[in-house]
Amino acid sequence: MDRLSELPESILLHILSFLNMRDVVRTAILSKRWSHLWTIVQQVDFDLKDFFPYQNFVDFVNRTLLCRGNCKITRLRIGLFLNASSRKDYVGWIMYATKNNVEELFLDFDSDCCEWLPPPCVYSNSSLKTLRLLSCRLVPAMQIRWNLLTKLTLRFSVLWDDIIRKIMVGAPKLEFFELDTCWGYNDPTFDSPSLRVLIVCDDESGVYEHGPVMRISAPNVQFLRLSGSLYRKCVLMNMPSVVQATLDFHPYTHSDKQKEDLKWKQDNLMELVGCLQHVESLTLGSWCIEVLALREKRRMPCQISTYKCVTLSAYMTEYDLLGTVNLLKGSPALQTLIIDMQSVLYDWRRRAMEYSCNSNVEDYLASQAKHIRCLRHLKTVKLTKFVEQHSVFPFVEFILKNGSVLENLVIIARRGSEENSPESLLKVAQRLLSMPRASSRAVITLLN
Amino acid sequence: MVKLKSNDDKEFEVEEAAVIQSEMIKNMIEDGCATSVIPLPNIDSKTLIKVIEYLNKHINMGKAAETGEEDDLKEFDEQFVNMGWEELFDVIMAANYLNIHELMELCCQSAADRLKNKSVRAVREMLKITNDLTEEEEQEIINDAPWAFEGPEIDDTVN
Repeated sequence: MDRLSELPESILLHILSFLNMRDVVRTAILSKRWSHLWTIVQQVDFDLKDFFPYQNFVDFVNRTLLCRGNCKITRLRIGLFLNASSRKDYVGWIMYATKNNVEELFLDFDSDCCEWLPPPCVYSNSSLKTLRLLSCRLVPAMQIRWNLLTKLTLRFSVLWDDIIRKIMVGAPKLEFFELDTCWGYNDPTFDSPSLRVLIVCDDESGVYEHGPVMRISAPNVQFLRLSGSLYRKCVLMNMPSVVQATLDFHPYTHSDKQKEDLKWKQDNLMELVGCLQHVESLTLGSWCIEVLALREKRRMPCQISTYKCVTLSAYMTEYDLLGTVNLLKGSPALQTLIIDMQSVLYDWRRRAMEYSCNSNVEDYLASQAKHIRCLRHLKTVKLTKFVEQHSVFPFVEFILKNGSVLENLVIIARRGSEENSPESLLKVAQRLLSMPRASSRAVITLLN
Repeated sequence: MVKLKSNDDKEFEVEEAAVIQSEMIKNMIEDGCATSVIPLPNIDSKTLIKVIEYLNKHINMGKAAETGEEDDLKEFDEQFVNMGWEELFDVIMAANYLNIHELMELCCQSAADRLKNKSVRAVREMLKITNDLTEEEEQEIINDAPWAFEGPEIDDTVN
């Protein structure tokens, strides 16, 4: 029996909406019932990588769009390589989509040091809700009108402060803005009243000049994520509404110059952490914890914060413990600590640091207990992607022994890891259960 | 607790917090139409058990994102859709009828993943589709877009 004949057409179309157009077109010869579905599917995804040579791709896209006529298109994604593509082709496709009131447009144009200029219909569009542009250059002379746009992602693109200002005015419903490895801006102001989520990954360009400082202002943003190589100083100007923040910088450290620069980058990171003391939830990447560890070694205290939840990407080496302790000492109100464990470290620079860190971990942690005030508030500690490595057990032992109101210790084992065989997890469980607990309410959960 | 009855007359009790992930039942509860048992004439007990399993696991979706339990949910989802085509279609129909958005997305994504890069012959066999096109009709479509039908990545296996 043809099971599919029972499924209504709307569901078949929904299944097809998850496939790229090349897979969708093949369904045309399954049976008569299917032969027209490919022309009316509303979510359309073309990718050059399925075609060779380029002209086959162009013929395929043109023919598909022609067969669709003016059928409603809600989502269009085009993946192509800019250096090998012709402007008149992709501009035609974009115009087709905007003329048919496309709502989600993903233009994944990869490139090798070249940019494309979007046509006017991209700048001024009253149907778009989601827009993603790669390798493009937005020009200030164009007026931006995105009445319905809520989500915008720009990647490997060039835009000036001026254009960001225009986006803030021209997209009154914008809620989510991601700038991933873009260039041209120095003092971006993200002051749209509707903007809630801001993600900025700032990285150097071989081509574009940049100012020595980036000053970000985002008065209404609640979720902030900053990453990149911290190649220039980053300053937060106006961030009163942030509730959740993530800092995940990874500076380059290969050349001697880059090593010298580390000093100001470390200071810059601490300034950023200082500007975000008021957030409820902070997430730090592995380099940031390294900086805190360095401060702990030099007996420099962490700034006092009001974080309720902290998430750390850590290897759980002795060095990471220093950084974790440094942060905990500065977070007296902390209730939830999540450690997202990273896989074993192969970074030689880090290895060298680890060697310099030869105190006894247990003794060190015990000596710090009285300075960590949040041990009296900490309710939940969670280790995700757990593998038994480095100093993870001394740390867990320390938390159980000193967390006087601890309610939950949750350990989620890393999947597909050789170390986490059923036998070794059983041993982990036995070891955890044998540890003394300060809180009689503490429940230990080990998930595989 | 809300009581649901499958089309083979089996009753199931589900927590309200779980069952309101179904827009249809949520509306019924809000309109005060869910005081006794809710009959589900389109869903058999085998499928309903699967759907309830999903609802119970996803009961606190928003909270999971906060506490980093997304990995756990992701793993559950992966296991959940590990089922045969017929069962998958039954769950899709149920999710569609009950209007459970996340479950619908999960199952349709899984169906699409199974069709990705598959040859026409393989898809026909997997979905038990009888080809009622003539050879000429078929060839005509292929001639229009030959590149869609050939290539090293096209997979002729059925699994």
